[in-house]
Amino acid sequence: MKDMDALKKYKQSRKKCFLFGLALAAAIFLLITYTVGLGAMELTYPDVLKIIWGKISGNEEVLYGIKEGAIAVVWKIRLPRIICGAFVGAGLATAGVIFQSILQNPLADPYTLGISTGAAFGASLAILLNMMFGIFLSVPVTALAFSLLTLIAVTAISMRGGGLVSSNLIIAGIIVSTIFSAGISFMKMLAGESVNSIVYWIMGSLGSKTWSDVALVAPVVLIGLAVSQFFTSDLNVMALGESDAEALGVNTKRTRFMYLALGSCITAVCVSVCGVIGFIGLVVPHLLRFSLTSDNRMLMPLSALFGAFLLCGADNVTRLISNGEIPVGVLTTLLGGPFFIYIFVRRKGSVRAE
Amino acid sequence: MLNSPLLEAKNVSFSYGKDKVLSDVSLVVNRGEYLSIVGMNGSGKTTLLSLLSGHLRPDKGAVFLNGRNLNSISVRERARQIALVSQSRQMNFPFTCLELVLMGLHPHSERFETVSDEQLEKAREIMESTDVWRFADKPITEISGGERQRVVLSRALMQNPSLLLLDEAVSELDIAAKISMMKLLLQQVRKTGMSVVSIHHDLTTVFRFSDRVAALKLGSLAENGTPEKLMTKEFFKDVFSVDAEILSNKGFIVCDNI
Repeated sequence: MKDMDALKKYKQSRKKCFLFGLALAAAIFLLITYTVGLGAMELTYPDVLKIIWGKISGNEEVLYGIKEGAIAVVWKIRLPRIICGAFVGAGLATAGVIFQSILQNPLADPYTLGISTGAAFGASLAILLNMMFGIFLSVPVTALAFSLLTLIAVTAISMRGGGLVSSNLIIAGIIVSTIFSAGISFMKMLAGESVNSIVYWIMGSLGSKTWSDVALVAPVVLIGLAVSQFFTSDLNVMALGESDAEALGVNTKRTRFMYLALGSCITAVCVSVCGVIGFIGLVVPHLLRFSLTSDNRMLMPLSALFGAFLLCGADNVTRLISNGEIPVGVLTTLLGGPFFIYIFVRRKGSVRAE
Repeated sequence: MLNSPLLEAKNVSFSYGKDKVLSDVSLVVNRGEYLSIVGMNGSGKTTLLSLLSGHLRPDKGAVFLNGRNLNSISVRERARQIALVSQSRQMNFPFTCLELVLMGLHPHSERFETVSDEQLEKAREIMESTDVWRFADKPITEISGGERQRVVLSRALMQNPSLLLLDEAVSELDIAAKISMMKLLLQQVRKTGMSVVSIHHDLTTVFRFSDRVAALKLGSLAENGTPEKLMTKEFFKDVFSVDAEILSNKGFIVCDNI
């Protein structure tokens, strides 16, 4: 009888993952549509649905009887912020799965290679230059440019240092991000009393995001997710290490490079738009891996959904409870930090047992 | 090409930078034989195996699989024929043992193809034969080294290769598990015509279970033959620089006067 158990469990776990995915998708929909009505101006749930439906379908008649102001608050202020949060959460969690797998390190996250530090450097530079010369350099675009520059620098350094393998990439990431950190400190000093806007940007926030931010994040995250999902069975095998993965028929160099580029682009766009939102990319894949499955074919989409749910939820906490005073990046790090300690202690325990 | 050998290394040499690891090694692997590779640490055994698997490309010479140059065969096609159990102990993610064994299907399955009931049944059969079915649903990160070796071997069998390359794949097994694993492998070799090339440090295992033994010394092929003929007093002196007493057809005793 024990024989049947493992096979049954295997099939059941697939089913469980599928159901959990459906539940998460439903929960995200409810969370978004429900919380968009909450805030300084409260709206009823039917009104919210009417506004969203009316705007999406272009059928303005259903909006009849709802105040202009309410429509503007929901459609122009709250909804883009919440949707942006969902995409960024999904993107960061997906990038987390990618980086942990290709770096073969469950403690890696989207920021391990210094892409976030590069973005923060770019943003600080743009903020500083705008202030000093009264110009209007786009902060997200500059941040994006510098995060991609970081990716190029990190891959170039690790290729020169012996190839795109985990240890080289991590070391190169540390080197590059240390240099950028020093640069950021220097700019903070130069900024003098206006240092606040740099500090606030780096902390990571979804406040005052618009549809144009969504337009930047959504396509990259969606395309990134689709492509990532296509090669997830290769990613599973990659977790076994270089030579074993190749012996199972995976072109490891190509796969690693492709996922490196994908994960980096997703991260770069997310960070450029919202600043450094910590721990989503680390915690989400981990939590799901330990409670549901390590199989990336399911872990990847589930992480995206769970990341979206978590960041939306966290942002609503900051928006509704602290009136947006606490940047969401601080909240996720405050909650994620202790979880990181838990992972670390648990991991050490399993190493010792060997 | 029916009579051609399954795998043939012709005059292969390999260097890591300036370090010459293998020079001018030629080796034939026949269908349905168990070939053991022995030699001292650093004699080039693992490098030779990496060349045979196609993971490394020889600087000089070439490796042929069924008469085709290994370099001209795609990674995926190669993986349908050659399975490898490396020394890598890397396992950072809590895949279950069953999931790990099912990864052996990777080179044979299409993207998004789900595992069929027959394949699951096959996995169960293999895992029962290697005695790891008992903990099939346990995370691979939570089992012992010897258990892990048996899981990885099961994965290699799941891959259904015509050539199985083993790099000290039974080194952590207890004596009973090792004997039953070796018997299982030999049975596969006899039954399916699969060939095995295996690196061993345990010369007793080599003596008892190999059809043929190849010995490497400082990156060159020193000896090559059946264990009974090959493993003589001179062999131990030449390949391992130790004295040994040979018990005819029963084995040997290595003296400790090093």
